[in-house]
Amino acid sequence: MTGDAPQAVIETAGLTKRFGPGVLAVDRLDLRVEPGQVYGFLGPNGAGKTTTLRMLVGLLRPTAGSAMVAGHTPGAPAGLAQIGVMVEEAVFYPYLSGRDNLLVVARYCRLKPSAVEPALSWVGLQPAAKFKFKTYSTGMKQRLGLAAALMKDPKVLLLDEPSNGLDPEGIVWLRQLLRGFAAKGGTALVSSHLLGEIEQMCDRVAIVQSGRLLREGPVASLRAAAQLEITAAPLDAAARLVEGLLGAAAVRVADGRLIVTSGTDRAAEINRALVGAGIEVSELYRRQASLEESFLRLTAEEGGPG
Amino acid sequence: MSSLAAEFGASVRAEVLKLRKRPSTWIICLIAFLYVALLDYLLTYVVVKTAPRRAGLSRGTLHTLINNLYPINFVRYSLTDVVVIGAALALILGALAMSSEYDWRTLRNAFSQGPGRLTVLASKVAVLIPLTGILSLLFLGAAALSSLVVGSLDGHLGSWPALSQVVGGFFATWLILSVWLLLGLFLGVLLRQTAMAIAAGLVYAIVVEGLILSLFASNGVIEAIKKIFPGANAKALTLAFGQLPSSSATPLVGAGQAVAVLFGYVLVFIGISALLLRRRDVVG
Repeated sequence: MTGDAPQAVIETAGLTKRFGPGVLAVDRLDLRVEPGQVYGFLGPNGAGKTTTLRMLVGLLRPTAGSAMVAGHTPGAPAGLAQIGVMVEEAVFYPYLSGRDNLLVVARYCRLKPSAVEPALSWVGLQPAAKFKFKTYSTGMKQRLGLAAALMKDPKVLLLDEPSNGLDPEGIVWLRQLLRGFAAKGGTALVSSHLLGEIEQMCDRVAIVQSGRLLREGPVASLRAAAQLEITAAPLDAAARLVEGLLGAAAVRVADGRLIVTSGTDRAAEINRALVGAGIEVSELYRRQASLEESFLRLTAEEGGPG
Repeated sequence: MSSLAAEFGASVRAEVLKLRKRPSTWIICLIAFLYVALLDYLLTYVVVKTAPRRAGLSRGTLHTLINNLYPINFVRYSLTDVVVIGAALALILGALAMSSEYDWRTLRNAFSQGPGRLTVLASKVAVLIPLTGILSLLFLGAAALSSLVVGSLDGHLGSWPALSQVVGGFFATWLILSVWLLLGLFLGVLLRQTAMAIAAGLVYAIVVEGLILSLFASNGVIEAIKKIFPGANAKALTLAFGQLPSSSATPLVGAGQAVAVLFGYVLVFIGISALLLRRRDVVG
């Protein structure tokens, strides 16, 4: 760590979890999340996201490596007091009402019972607070889980697939909530396989596959580089000409179009050359690839999602 | 230290809320009361009083059976329930309190909110043990009340057991029920599934303690081994309060040894549960 780097709120070093001899769920994971960040933890199902979150709150013990959250080792009561957690789907006592379930959480957290009503209000569950948890819809359960995570006014949020079951309005609310939380100096680690959500709510992203970290960095840097897409006729002649300009490695033909992956700032020059050579250019545009495409490309290189 | 005490106190309050609002807690208490009052007293009374002559029961036998139901015997009679139905109900109560947390996957909520794992277990035990005290009062209370009704019907209200016997009976009941409750709790931690925990506990109580050890009781080796089993020691402790008029059982061990062995089980079940809970991953 350099002297200038802020103290990491969440940090793992070589974090590894093996279930028995055959299943390596998390493989030497190095993560560093700084204060005020909403950090996306992205990966296909079975990538090790939930296992990592469980290790960060001390539910699972690492086979190797170490982790620190909010300055404490995972599972330490002093650390947990600063962390709001929702691991996998929200689970509560089915025979208790939403309000009583939050009261149980409040008692475990040593909060006053008066903390319950504001939490219910944040997530819009006050009208349903008296109903038993077993009667809740998936979205209501998720909101109750978020209320439990937020109730103790945590410094760190660890949320596993938090938008699961939320309606579009709820997803927008969650996005705003996380941005507001980070703006006030809070740090959130949000795991998801929903790339669009991660792209919209996170500052940095780690992409994991089969327990290993594939890539980590700001969302913008993880998007695939921009590319030019050219529809021209005749296509062969157009391809030869652009290859002559940029080199063969920069050009490929796909779906009846030329895809130019480097020298994308030379669009005008390419267009002039093609038109000058008598090639008919019907379409030429610059396209910024999404995080989803980066994710699919990265995971495909590693054997494909799933 | 004060922080740990505050953490423990907060966890206890959480456990009280969970247990108080859980229907099964009160259903088990109700079953205990109704079993003693209806099945043990009312049914026995009605059957004995209406037994036809051809049933082959002598007047002496009928008199002895009715004698069991009079107030003077209510502590002893209640204790015979405690070692059978009481043990089963306490075991179910303990198993439900722990293994439901695995079934509902709520244990991870408790463990990720702040209190340590051992604090959560300690607070559960701290709430469940007084609950077995309430269950003990229900067993004794139901027996006392029912014997009062039977005694008043038959005009045998004159003699009641000494206060020392009532108090001793209460503590014996509490200890016996606590052992079975903690066995249920331990099985809940071990098996992490309610159905398995209850089934394993009942199979142990009925098949191992009830059948195998009783069938081969005359075998010297079995008799020696039996002296360390919870059921056998619980039975021995109940016999320390004297025989019912209808009973001829002899205690396997003295009351002092029975109490020591039962306290040993309390510590062992709590200790192993704590060890398992502390070391194992929470995967559910």
